[in-house]
Amino acid sequence: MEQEENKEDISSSQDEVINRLHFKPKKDIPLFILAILSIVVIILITVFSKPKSTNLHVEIRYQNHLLWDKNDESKSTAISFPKEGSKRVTFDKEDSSLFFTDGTTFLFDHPITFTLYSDYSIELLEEDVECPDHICSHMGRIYQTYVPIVCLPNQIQAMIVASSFPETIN
Amino acid sequence: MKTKRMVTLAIFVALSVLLHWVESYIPALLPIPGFRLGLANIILLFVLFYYDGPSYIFTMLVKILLVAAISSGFGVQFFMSMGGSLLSMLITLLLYYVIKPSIYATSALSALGHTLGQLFVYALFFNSFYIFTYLSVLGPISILTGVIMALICAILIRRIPASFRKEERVRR
Repeated sequence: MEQEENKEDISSSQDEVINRLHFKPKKDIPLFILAILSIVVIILITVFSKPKSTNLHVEIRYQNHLLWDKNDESKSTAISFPKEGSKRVTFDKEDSSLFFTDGTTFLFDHPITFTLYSDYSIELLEEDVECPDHICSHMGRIYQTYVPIVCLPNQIQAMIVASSFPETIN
Repeated sequence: MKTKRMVTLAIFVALSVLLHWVESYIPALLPIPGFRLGLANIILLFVLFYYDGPSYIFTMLVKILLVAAISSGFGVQFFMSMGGSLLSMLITLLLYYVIKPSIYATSALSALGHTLGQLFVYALFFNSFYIFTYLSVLGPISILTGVIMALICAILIRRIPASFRKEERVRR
């Protein structure tokens, strides 16, 4: 008796599962519209909150710390683009000049080098980074502002930002 | 938890970890960073539709921990994966038990939830919220892959009839 009840229970739940395999326009289409709308809204909010300025520079972050270029004497975390050709910005463990803006030291296993071009673009070349997947170097050259080049295994990101007041260390 | 259920779920966890490893070779073909097919989602959806919510939560959490322990480690990637999975889990369970749409919408929205959760953890970690512009690329792709994974999962559910599950219930 109990077995039969169980069988009925299974067949009804099975019907429900099979029923879910068919497209249900009444419930599905509003959900798809909701998904697309939420994507559009989030993108619009982000795009409109971007500062608009022609003063472009590069910000490189390790976790949430801003880094500065050791060759730049002003120790600005707003790394400027070269006037001509390209410029290479390297971060490595041995270099004692590498400190975070808050004074803590840099802990990096492998050196990482970003290439900045005079046409306001940045790139992370494959030979300049040591990581397992190389997703970051496959991104190629980035021209857009606020699109980060990310190296997740090394927890570092670089992006072009636009602002009129660059942050500097005193 | 019945022994049979436990063993079956262990096999599903192993399968999802395997699929996660297999799909790590796929992004190399596409120049979209952060893009994953979400093959493991087929297994998770299958567990949810074939068994129940608790089994789904169990499989997902064990899978995340195993993937972190085996390959990616407990760094940023772990937290991003955790954030994505938790949001996608919430959305999936809400859709499955409350709104009850078809498997396609469930999968698509849960894939989008996964992307959003990951981007949110990323934004918190690097303290830069402009990463959400990247949703213009990842958002539509995750909806599309979600639907594709649901199609595959639907084929699986149709191919493996309830007899698989029936035995377990009847012998209770």
